[in-house]
Parts: sequence; C-alpha cells; structure tokens
Amino acid sequence: MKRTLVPSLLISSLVLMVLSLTLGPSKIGLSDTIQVLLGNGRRANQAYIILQLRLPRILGSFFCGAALGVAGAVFQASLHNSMADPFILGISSGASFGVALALFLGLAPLFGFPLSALAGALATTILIIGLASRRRGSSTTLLLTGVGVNYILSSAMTLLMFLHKEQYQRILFWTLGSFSSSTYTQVGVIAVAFLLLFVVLRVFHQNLDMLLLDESSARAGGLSVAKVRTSFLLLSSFATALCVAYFGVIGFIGLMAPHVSRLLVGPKHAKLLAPSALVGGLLLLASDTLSRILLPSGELPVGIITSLIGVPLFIHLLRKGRFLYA
Amino acid sequence: MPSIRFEQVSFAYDQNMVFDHLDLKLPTGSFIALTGPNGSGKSTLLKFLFRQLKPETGVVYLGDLDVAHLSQKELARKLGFVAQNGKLDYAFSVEEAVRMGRFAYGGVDETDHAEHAMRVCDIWDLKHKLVTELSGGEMQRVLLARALCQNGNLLLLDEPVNHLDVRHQRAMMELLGQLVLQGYTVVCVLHDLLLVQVYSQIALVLKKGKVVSYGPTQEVFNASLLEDVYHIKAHQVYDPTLGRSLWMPTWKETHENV
Repeated sequence: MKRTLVPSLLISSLVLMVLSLTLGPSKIGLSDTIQVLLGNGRRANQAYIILQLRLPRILGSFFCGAALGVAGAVFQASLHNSMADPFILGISSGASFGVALALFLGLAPLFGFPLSALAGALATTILIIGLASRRRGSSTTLLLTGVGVNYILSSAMTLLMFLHKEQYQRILFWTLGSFSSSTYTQVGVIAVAFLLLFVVLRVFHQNLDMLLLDESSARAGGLSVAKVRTSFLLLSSFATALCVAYFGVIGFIGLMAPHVSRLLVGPKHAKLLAPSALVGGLLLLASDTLSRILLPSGELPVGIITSLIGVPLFIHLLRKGRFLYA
Repeated sequence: MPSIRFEQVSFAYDQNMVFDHLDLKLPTGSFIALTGPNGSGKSTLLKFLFRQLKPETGVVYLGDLDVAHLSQKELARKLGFVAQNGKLDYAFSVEEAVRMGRFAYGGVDETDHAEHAMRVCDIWDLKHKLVTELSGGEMQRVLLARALCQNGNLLLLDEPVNHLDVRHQRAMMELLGQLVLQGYTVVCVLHDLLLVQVYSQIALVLKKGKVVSYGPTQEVFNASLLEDVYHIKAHQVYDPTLGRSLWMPTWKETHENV
C-alpha cells in the first residue's frame, strides 16, 4: 500500500485531470479533448474552452490543493496540534480583512483583490508570530494568539461589511473560494510556490518529525525549535496566502489532506509530504470539477463540495487506517 | 570525564525567583538523583543543560564548555533527555521513534547506535510496533533508547518512572544503574525517596531553589532533613536484601484495618 500510494495518487490525478477537461456545460468528448491537448484540435471553440477555460482552472485547483495539503502538514507539526490548518494563524481572516479594507478605502480598483488579500494575510501572520514570540513563543501561545487575532479580524471585517452593505455579496463570494477565473499566470505562481515549499520541506523533513516531539525532547535532540518553527510557518503561510489571494478561502483541504495521508502512510514526513500534496490536489480538483458540473446552470462554491466529499473519506479511514492517533 | 557545573546561576519564572546565584558541581560517571518538593527547581536545573531554559545570570558548564556557546546540535551530541510524560501522540514505529535520536547527526547512523540502544533497552523485538500501541513501561524504554541513540554520555531524566507499576519502575531503575556501570552519567529527577536511596549514588535535595543537602546518598537523608524539606516524620527500616537501612515516611493510618 505504502509503496504504490504515491504512483496511484499521481495516476489518479492525471486521469481525473483529463476526465475533468471533458466535463462542463459544453459537451466535448474524450477523443476531441485528447486531440486538442495534442495540438490537433479542429474546432477553435473547443480548443479555447479546453485550453483557456478548463485547463488553467484544473491546474489551479490541483496545485492550490497540493500547496494547502503540504502547508497543513507543516502547521499541524509546527503547532503540535492535529486540528491546526493553514488558516489558523490568521491568513483567511487577514486576507478577508485586507480585501474588505481595500474596498472600504476605495483602494480595491488600484490594488485588486489578490494584492489586498496577500498584504492582509502576510501582515496578520507576521503580527501573530511576533506577538507570540514575546512570550517564549510556545506552540500553544502561538495557537491561542492566532485564534484571538482571527476573532478580532473577523469582527472587524463583519463591521466593514455592515458599513458597506453593497459590497457584501462580492466579499462573501470571494470568501467561499472559486477557481472560475484562473489564469496561467496564477497557475504558474502557485505551482512555483508549491514546488519551492515542497522541496524545502522534503530536504528538512527530519526537522518536521522532531517538531512532533514535546518541546523539551525536541530541543535536547538538537532542534532549534523556535527558529525552525517560525521559518516553516512563514514559508507555508506565504504559499497559503498566495492561494487565498488568487482563489479565496478554501478550508478543509489543509486540515484533512495530512490526516488522510497520515492514516495511510504514518506520521514520518519523508513519507507523508508527497501523499499530503497529492491527496490535497486530488480532493480540490475533484471538488472543483463537481462544483462546476452539479448545477445545470451556474456553479456551486467549491468550499461546500470539499467537505462533502472529504469527510466521508476521512471517517472511513479513521475506522480502517492502521496509523491511528494515541 | 568532565563535570557539570552551575556557577552563580539565577533564574525566575516571571516574578518568582527559583534560583538565586546557585553554585553547584555534579560529578560525572555516577547516578545522581535530584529530589525535593514540587516547585523546588529540579526540572528547571535539567532544562538549563540543554538550553530549554536560559539562566538570567551565571554560566552552566558541561566540562569546560559553556552550554550557551554550543549549538543545539552540538549539545544534543553530548547528552540525551527523557521528558516527564514524553509520549508520542503520532503513530511512529518504535524504530522510527528511536532513530529520531540521530537528528543531531543529520540522521546518519553508521555504526548503528539505534540498534545498540534498542538492544540495551530490550525493545529490539518491538521495533516494528507502533508507539501508540505500547504500554507505559515499553514507551519509557523507547524514550530512553532515543536518548541513548544521541551518543552522548550524559543522560537526563525527568521523573522517568512516574506512571509505571512497581515491576517496570524496578526494571527502569536497574537499566539506568547498568548504564552508569557502562560509563554514563545519569541525572534523574525522582520523587520516590525509596528509589532515590536504593539506586542513586549521589543525591541532591532541593527546596525552593536552594540546595538543602548534597552528597553520597546514604549520608544525605536523616529525620531532621525530611522534617525540614517535606514536613513529615520519618524513621529507618532495615532492608535485609540490601543489607542497610532506608528512611521511610512514618505513615498515619486513617481507618482501622479490618
């Protein structure tokens, strides 16, 4: 199971990508789709739909899911908490607040949603890490500071939305997450961010394992806990903030992908990172595909689907998986 | 073998002073028990040695080396630590958990210290088992093996037998005694006065950050010390197996035996 898991997930992802290219309001068969991908498409509109509308969206959702899956593994190890997800240090509330503030101050046309969200997310994360490190920076302090700041920013955003009711719909739709306007530039940025995060973590995977020990044992074992934790959290936060800036807040993947993978391959990060990325990518790609084909017209917010298909899988593994928690 | 020294060490948790210019020198190559009431600073003293805590003033030496000037990995190659309740919540295999002790060497283990440590701690047969499936006694041996795997000659243990039954307590203490015979220095925080008297060679009794008594274990304890430190009456009981007397608290029955 362990040896075949990564190849199986990779093949499943590729199959689902091709299948997803054929699905949508315009019916395009498998052979036509493959012809277009090979550059032999005969109809310009089919090529446009597949290459300009569906493919960037498919790649965007896959890489975003992969980045969130890996970031989730980092957050759970760094904060020593299996309920941690990449948004726990204020990225979603910071990004949402950034967008709401930009709209309120009339800066949104100037900076756009992505830049406002990125600025809000990163400023919040740096603020939380900075505040927590003043009190010896234990993982619990960090977690509680994150929860506190999240509440403050969520309230502030609600206040801004209340004062700016005409923007309510726009912000709400953005916070539910969507890949409908993915571009190749966005795909490129997210793919690079994901690969960078993945390579760094793969090189330093033993540091992530050590973070799972109690803090004293990790230190006595040679880990500079605060330094390593802060670096990993900042790097993962940056990748997550990019995902949020482009595609909105997509919960659940970052929480669940590492858990599902841990139940299949165990907690050692040398084995865990690749499945976390692939499960995250696959889950989000499947969710996005369903979100655009389930309704006869229009589409569902992807955040709704991720939980609907992810939770049954997770509960099944909780019952059957070997690597259960203590 | 180099000694462990604390020179003029002061430390406070927030406003509560724990140590005020403490001077202390611990010999190496022996089994040293740190004991004293809760909050007397026993665990804090251990945590200075691997820089989990840093003294506000003063210097801590391992041999001639100031621990403040060593990197975290250099420190880890000189000592191993078994935490109080240091269990693992994640389902690592026993072997994976022990091999984490090689982190300070980049995971490299050319002469297979991990296997040696697992054999010494009698967990070699459990190497494929998950740590989440272990009993308390087995888990403590895994944690000790991980500390041994770091290949230092100083072992620090914080109440390692707290949750173990009598059989496993004895097995753990005997294992530590054997390690001392092999050249390790064991510094162990212990609450059980019987275990301190039976197994340690040197005892250090702390009370509110002050050294109340320190020396060869058999000379450290007496009725007035136990009265002063723990506010209990105590008496000596002769143990024929050990061939010597041990100090015991004088118990007070709260009901009549049936």
